[in-house]
Amino acid sequence: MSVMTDTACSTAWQRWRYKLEIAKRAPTIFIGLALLFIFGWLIVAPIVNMMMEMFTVQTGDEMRVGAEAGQFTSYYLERVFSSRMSSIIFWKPLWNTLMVAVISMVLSMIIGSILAWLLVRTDLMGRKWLSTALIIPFMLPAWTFALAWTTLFKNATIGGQPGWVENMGYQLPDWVSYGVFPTIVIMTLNYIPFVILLVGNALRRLDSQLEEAGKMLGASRPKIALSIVFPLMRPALMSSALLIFADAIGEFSVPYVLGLPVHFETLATSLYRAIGTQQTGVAAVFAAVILVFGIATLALDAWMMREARRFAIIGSKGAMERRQSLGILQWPATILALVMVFIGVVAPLGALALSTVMHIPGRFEFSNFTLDYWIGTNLDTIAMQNGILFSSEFWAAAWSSISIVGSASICAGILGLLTGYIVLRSPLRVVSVTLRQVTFFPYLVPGIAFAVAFLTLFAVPHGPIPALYGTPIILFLALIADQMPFASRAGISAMTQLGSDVEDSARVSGAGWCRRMYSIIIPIQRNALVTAVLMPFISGIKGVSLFIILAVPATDVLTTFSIRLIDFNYTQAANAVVLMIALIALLGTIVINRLTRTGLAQGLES
Amino acid sequence: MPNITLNNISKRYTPDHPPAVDQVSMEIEDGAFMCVLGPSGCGKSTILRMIAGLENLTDGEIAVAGKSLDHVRKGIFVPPEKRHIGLVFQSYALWPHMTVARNIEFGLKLQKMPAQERKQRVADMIAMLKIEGLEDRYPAQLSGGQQQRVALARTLAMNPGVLLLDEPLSNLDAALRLSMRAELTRLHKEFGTTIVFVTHDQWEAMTLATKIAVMNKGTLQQIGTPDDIYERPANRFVAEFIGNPPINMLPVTSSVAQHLINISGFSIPSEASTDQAMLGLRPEGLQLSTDASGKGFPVVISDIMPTGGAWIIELQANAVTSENESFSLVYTTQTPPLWRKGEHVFLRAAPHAMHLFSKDGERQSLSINSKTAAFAEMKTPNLCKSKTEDIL
Repeated sequence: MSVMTDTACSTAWQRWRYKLEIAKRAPTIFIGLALLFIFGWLIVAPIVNMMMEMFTVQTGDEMRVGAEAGQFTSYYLERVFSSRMSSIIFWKPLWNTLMVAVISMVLSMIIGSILAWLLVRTDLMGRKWLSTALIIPFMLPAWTFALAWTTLFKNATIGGQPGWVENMGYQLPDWVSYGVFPTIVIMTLNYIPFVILLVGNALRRLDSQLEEAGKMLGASRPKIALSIVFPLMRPALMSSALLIFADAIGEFSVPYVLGLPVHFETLATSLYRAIGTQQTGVAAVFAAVILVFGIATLALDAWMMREARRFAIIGSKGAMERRQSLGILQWPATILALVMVFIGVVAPLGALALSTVMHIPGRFEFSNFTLDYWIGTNLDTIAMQNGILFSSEFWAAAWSSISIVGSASICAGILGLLTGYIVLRSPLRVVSVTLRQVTFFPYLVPGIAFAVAFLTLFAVPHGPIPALYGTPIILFLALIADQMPFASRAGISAMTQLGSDVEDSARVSGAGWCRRMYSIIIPIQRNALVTAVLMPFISGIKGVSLFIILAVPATDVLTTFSIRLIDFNYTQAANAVVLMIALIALLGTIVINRLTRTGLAQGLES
Repeated sequence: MPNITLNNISKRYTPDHPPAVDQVSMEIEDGAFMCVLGPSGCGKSTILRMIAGLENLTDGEIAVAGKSLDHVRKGIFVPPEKRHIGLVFQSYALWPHMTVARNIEFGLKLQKMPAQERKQRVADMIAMLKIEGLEDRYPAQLSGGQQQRVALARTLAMNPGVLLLDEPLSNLDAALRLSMRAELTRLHKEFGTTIVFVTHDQWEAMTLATKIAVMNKGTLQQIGTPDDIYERPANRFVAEFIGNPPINMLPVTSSVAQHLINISGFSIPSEASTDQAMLGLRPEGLQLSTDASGKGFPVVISDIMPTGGAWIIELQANAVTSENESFSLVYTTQTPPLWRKGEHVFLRAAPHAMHLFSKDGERQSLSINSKTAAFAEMKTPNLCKSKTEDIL
C-alpha cells in the first residue's frame, strides 16, 4: 500500500539515462559487445564471405565463366553438382565420404559401447588400467594411426620404402594398403575412445537401482537390457553417433594419407585438391557441402538432446554402483579389451616408434637398428641430413607449433572465460544467447571448411587489415576461432558453477570490476582457465586441417612439417615427428585430467 | 547513523509479467532493526538487493542519509562498490579460495587501511564473533554456523552504517538459531547500525525485528511493530500469513461468526455484512467450556494434537442455519486439555482475538453493540484472567 500519489510512469528517456549510468559502472555490456565484434569478425565473417565466394566469379576464372571477376555466377555450383565432371569431382567423393563416415560410426559405436559397458558395469579384470589405456587413441592425432598403417601395410604400388609386412615377404593387395578399407579401420579405432567416454559416462550416471527395480518385478536380463537400459541410454548413444558422423564428414588427414595413392577421394581431400589447383570457387562449394552436413547433424543432435531432457534420469544422488559379475565370460571379455588396447595403442605406437629406429622397415636384425633418424648427423640423404632432434627444421617447426598454437590457445582460453562470464552475467539476453551460439558455431564447421573460409577472407586485404596469407597471424586467428567451442564451453560451464553471490559480495565490499576479476573470479576459476587453454592447445597441436590450408613453408609447424616429410617419403623422420606431436598432446591431456578428474568426458558433452 | 528512504521503488523484469516489486515506499529510521517479511517470491530479497545496488530499479528512488543512491528519473546510480552498505548473503558467499582471515581482510585492503590497523580489526572481529582458531581455514572447512559468523565478520569489519541480511537464520539448526539471534540483537545494540533483514520465517521476523514490513506479490501490506502486525493486521493477507497455527477464517454471515460476535458485545457494521466478509479468530484467543450457560457456540472436538507443551485442538462447528454449513476451527492451548475426541463443548472468543475483514480484505472494526456491551465488558476480563477456570 504505497502512500505515494505520484504514480505516473517515468519516461523512456529517463529510464534509458538511468540504465546508461548503470552500464558505465559495470563494463559487462561493453565487454559483451566487444566479444560479439571479435567473434563476428573471426567466425561469422569468414563463413559468410566464403558463402558469397561460391556465387562470385574468381580472379583467373573470367575466361572459363565468361564474366568479369567479382560478378554473380552459378558456375561453381553447376560445375560441382551438374557438370560432366561432377560425378568424378563431387558425387564419387561424396559417396566415399558418407560410406566411410557411416561405416566407421556404426563399427565404433558397437565396439565402443561394449567396451564402455564392460568398463563401467562389470567386474572386468584390470578395468581401472584398461579404461585409461583404451582412451589413449583419443589423445593422439588421427593420422598417427594412418601413418602407423602405412608403416605396417604399405605395398609396392607407390614406391618408396615398403611396409613391414611386404618386407617380411607377403604381397599385399592395394585394398589392404590404401583406400577405403584402412580409412574405415583407422577412423573406427579413432572414434572408439570417444564412444567409451560418452557412453561410459552415461552408463555411470544410470542408477543401477533402476535395473534392480526391473529385476524385482520379475523381468529377465534381456528384457531389462532392452526395455530399461537401452531406452535410457538412447540419448547418449544417438548423441555420440551424430557427433562422430559430423566429425567423420570433415575428416581430412586419414583419407589424405591413406587414400591418395589409389585416388580414393573424400569431400575433404577434394577440397584440398581444389585449393591446391587455385579453384577457390569450387573449394568454397565443397566447404559449404561439408558445412551443411555438419550443421544438419549437430542441429539434429541438439534437437534430440532437448527431447531427451523430457526423461532426465532423476535421483542421481542415490545412484548405486553395482557391477555385474561376468562369470565365465570374464576371460573372453578381458581378452577382447586387451586386443583392443593392442590394436588401438600398442601396435600403432609401437610400429611408429620402431620404424624410427630401423633403416629398412620390418627387418628385425640388430644391424638394421639405428638412432640416426633421431640423433644422426651428416646422413647420406638429399634432405634431412640430420636426425630430427639435430635438425634445425624440426626445432623451428616445433617452436612455431608451440608458439602459434600456444599463444592462440591462451587467447582462446581467456576469451572463453570472458565469454562464460558475459554469457552468464550480461544484462542483455540477446548478447548472451548470441555469444553462446556464435562461439559454438565453429564446432559445426569442419576444420578444413573453416580453413577455406579463413583463406577466402584473409588472403586479400580488407580495409585496414592487410593480406594475412603466409603470415603466422592468419594461423593464430584461425586457431582462436576454431578452438572457441572448447574454450567457451569450458568457460561457460565453469561460470555456471560459480554463483553470482561470490562476485556480488566482493562488489558490496567495495571491489571494482577489474579488482573482482583479478582477486575473485580468476583465482577461483584458475583450473577452468588452464583447461580452457589446454583443451584448445591439444586439439590445435595435433590438428592438420587448418595448417595444411593456411600454413606456408615459412610458417612451418610440426604437422605440416611431418606431412611434407611423408610426401617426400622420409617415412622414419615423419614418424618421429608424429611421435613428438603425440607426446605433446599426451602430456597436455594428463595435465587436464589431473586438474579436472573428468575433464575430458565433460568437455565432450553437450 | 543513516536512515534509508525507499520512494516508490518498482522492479519489473519482463514487461509481460507483473512487477516483482510494485511501488514500495518506506522509511527505515536510523538505528532501526527492520524486517521485510513475506512468502517466497514476494519481492523481499529484490528490495534488499536494490538497496545494496545489486539490482537496478525500474522506477523510484532509494536514498540513504538523504543522499540518492538510485534515482531513475534523475539518472542517478551509485554502484554497489561505492555505497558502503554491508550485505550478508543467504549463501554467505564466502570466497572459497581465501582463508577466513583473508576473507575478512579483503574489504579493508580495498579501503587501503594500513596493515597494522587491518590486522587489529580482523582480530577484533574474530574475537567478537567467537571464531578464534579458524583464521587459517578455508570456507569449505567450516560448518554452516561458522561460515555465517565469518560472513558477518567480513561485513562488520567494514563498519557499515547500514547492514543488510538475507535470511540470516534460515540455514541454521534450531540451537544455532537461538544463539545467532542473541548475537544479532547484541550486535545491533553495540554498533547501533541500521539493520534491514528479509525472511519468510515469521518466527525470525517477530523475535528479531523492532519493526516489520509485510510484503506480498511485490506490494507492501503493512509496516508496524511485531505486536502491531500480530494484533492489528491491516488486511486478510497479513492476518493469515502471521500466526502459527494460522488464524481461523469464517464467513461473517455464518452462524458461528454471528454468534461469537454477538455474545462478545459487538455487531457487524452494515457495509461488512456480505458473504465475502470474513471474521478471523486467532486460535489461542478461543475459549472452550463444557458449561452451556456461558452462551458459547456448540462445537465438537474432532482431533487433539499434542505438540509438546502445547496442544492443537481441532473443532467442528455445525451451523444451525438452513444451509447446514460445517466449519472446522483450530484452537491452541498450553493447558492440558480435559476433553476427549468427539466431546461436545461450547466455544467463545476473546474480543482481541477477533478480526473483521471486508470483502476486499481490508481490516474493519467491529461496532460495539449497546445491548450486549455491558455483558461483554463484564465478562471479557474475567475470561482472560482465568482461562482454566472458565474451561472447567
